[in-house]
Amino acid sequence: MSPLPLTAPLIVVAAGAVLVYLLARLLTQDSRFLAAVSATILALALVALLPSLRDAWAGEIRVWPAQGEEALLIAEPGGMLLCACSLLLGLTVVSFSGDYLALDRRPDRFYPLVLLLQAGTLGMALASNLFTLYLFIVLTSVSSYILVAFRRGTETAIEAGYKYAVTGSMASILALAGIAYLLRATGSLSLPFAPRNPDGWHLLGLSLLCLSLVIKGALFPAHIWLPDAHGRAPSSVSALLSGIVAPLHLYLLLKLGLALDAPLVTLGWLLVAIACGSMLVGSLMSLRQSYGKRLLGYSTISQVGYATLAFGFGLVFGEPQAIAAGLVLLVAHALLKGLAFMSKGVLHFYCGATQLDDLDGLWQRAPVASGLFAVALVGLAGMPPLAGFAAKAGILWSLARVGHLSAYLGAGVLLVSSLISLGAYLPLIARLLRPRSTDSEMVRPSPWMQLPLVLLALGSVILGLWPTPIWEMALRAARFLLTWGAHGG
Amino acid sequence: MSNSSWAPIALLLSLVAPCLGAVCVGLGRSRPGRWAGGVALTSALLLSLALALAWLARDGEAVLFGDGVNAGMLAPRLALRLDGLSLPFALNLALVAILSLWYALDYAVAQAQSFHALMLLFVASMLGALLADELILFALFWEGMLLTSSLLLLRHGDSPNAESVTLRYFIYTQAGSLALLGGLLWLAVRAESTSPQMVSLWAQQQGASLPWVIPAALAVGFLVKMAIVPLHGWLPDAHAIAPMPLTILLAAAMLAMGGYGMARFVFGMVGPGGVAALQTPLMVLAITSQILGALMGLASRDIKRIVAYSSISQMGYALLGIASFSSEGLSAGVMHIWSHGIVKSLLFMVIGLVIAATSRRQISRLGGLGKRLPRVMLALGIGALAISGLPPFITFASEWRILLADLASTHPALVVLAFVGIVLTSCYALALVGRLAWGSAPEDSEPLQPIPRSMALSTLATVILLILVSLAGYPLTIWLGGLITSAMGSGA
Repeated sequence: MSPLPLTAPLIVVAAGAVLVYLLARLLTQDSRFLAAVSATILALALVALLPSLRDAWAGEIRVWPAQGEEALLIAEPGGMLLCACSLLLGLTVVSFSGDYLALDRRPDRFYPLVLLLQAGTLGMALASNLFTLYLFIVLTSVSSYILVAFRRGTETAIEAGYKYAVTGSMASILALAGIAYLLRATGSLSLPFAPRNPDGWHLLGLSLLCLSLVIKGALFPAHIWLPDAHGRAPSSVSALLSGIVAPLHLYLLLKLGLALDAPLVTLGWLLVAIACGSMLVGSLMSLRQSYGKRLLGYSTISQVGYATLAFGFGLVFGEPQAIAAGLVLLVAHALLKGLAFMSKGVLHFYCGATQLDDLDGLWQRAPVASGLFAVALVGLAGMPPLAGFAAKAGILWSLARVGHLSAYLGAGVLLVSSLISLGAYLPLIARLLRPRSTDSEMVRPSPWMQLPLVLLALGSVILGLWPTPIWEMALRAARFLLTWGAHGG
Repeated sequence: MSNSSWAPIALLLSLVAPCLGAVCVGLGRSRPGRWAGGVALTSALLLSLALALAWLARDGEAVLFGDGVNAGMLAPRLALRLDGLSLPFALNLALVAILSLWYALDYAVAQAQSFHALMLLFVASMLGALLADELILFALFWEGMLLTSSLLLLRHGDSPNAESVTLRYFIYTQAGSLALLGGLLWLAVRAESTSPQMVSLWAQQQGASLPWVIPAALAVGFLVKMAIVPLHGWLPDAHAIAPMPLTILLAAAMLAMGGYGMARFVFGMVGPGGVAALQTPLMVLAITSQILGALMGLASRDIKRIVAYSSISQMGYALLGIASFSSEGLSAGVMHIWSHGIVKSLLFMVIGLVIAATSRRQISRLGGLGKRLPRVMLALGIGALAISGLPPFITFASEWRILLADLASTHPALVVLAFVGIVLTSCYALALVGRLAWGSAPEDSEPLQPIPRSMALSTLATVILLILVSLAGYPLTIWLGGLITSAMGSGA
């Protein structure tokens, strides 16, 4: 029996987007029905991904097309991990949106766009050719610009979407220019490759490409657009953007750096510096927020900073454990940030909570959603037994393995930053638990919104208590990436 | 170790009992608060029974459940160990849990169901941290302690600013815990194992070549828990706003966890070679706490705060013993923590009775209770004498042995300062009794409220326990000393 080609999940999701659009135009505008169809499509894509995932686990890396020199897609373990993560998060987002979309309506646009976004992220994680990668980046970006501005009735959403689109397009142009210079220097677009004669053009192309990814990954000092965009988008969209899209750009930075024969030590130190800035700025700024989703946006900046720190030290010292720890953090962050944004969405939907002040005493009105939000915050702060703890402990563990003075300093910054963010998250939990005098009627959130969130919370507990399988996969990914570039050269 | 014996199962059950109790209380939310209290007390009794059975049925020096040999990844493994060092602490925890939950039975607390469920989870996480025989598991329970106690303070704290007090407590402790976590992970990476035994073997080989930062980072985490000056800032407010049963658990059991950590991980795991550089700073901090805690106790005007500050001072004594880095000093320090658990429970219980009877906490508005509450004042007097370290109380034995151990250490001169602390302790403790029992009664005295039954009975039981323990002071000291010495001698 011939295994499914690597393109299967991509085709399923992209064709699904068209199908959902047609269904919505021709048949029904019922949000729940379309959510169910989209969820089925994503579940099918996940099933189609499984054979490649299993092969990647077994150390057999699939490529597509299978014959010939120029592979366009590659199923390497790290990309597979993020693909699976993205699809799972997408599944919870669409089933959450079934009822949540009552706020925004237009399901005929929403679900196809989410599916296109999913196709874009899948493609980004799988691409093994720079131009393919570029196309998928553009697909992801364009669909996310529209989704950020989806709540088009409000001026802030339009403004946030506009800002996001301008920054993102600039970054895309930088990426295209970078790819052009790389092509000029090497005559190839297929990953991995080493330059025929590494010269200034190669370096320029590489820098432009990295710069573009830094901007799109919202890494310090190019992070300023993120809190606006993720703070104004609908919660379900923010969950996807913060949980998987921004971190995926960071992963690509690592992957391309290794595949394109970048000066790894320099790139590594740069990442370490960026990481320290991201961690501190993200956690310090989250102390000053009064708007719930903006706070979560700043928390994404610091969390992505933790992973950047691990990646940076992994590159400088060639330490697979550190890269793996960064990947585990990205997975944990996807779960917890999805949980945080969507449980916040439930509180918004039923209790009208947008500002932090609105959170006061919500425990009494919506205990499950408040509890889930508290769990997400505690997890993001890195407390056990949640995934955030396992991931942060993993990063500290790998930094201790590196054993260099700078790694200890980096670990110190990480610890300080997590302590500061604790100062931002804890008051929120305290607010939820405040006694409430007025308007304390219980609300009954839809199970379609809460059940996926409960599953996310369970997943993050399991990952916190038993991170071994994800660790193993991440280690495989790290080992593969570290040798991938070397093979190409 | 033999796996055929049922001691390991009993050990696991001791940890499961409070968790099950919490689940029961949670399921029975519609039942009255007293029912929740009864379930909680029963679970604490079951916990103690299981612990006792596990220890009595052991073969060898320790009871082990599962093994903590780690594959190198960061998944916690369920490995428990009850040995000569954890036994005194577990015993202390079990006793304090029973006493405080008994006391809580009639203590007026809002939302009794959630209170009792959280109290049980708090006890379970402390017991888990005591028994954990794997570093990641230990970290899990250690943070669980913080989470549950913070929730208790936040939801049941008796003050309008419970929120800010809880935040301060949380951030303080978490800062320490992060340092602790960093230190533990560093050791685990170097030793390539997360089993305390393996880490200990590796660290003892390193001896003095181990960087002093590592034991110092561990010590910071534990000293915050012990509330040693200058890391004590969270304690007075947290103890003052907590409902009395929680205050008892915090002061008599949770502070002890810091001492356990110092004994097990800083002294026991890193070993005398690695920690030698820390001895002088630790002894200085210990004596500073001892004196400053007593002075702040003297300066306080709120009777609950006076007793709370005395914990800072008493933990100073215990640290003084541990910081002698000799096995005599260590066993004396542990012994002191153990006796402090009983005495401090008694003092807080009595203070709770006084508050329940008079509804007042300011010392200036209290007095002349010797005639009105004679038996309560007698109990307070016993507690005050015991905390002053006077013979024949058990605290005398432990303090005396601490001082002896320190006289034999490298800084005998510091012991002189410790005597100053002892004198100050007697001052605040006796001043408290004097003021409450014989001080002039305030003019606006109101009639006394009746004292709830379970609060009075549990206080009486604590007095009897204290007297019994003091009478058996000598054999107890020998027994505990032997246990601890053999546990420390066997490598952990």
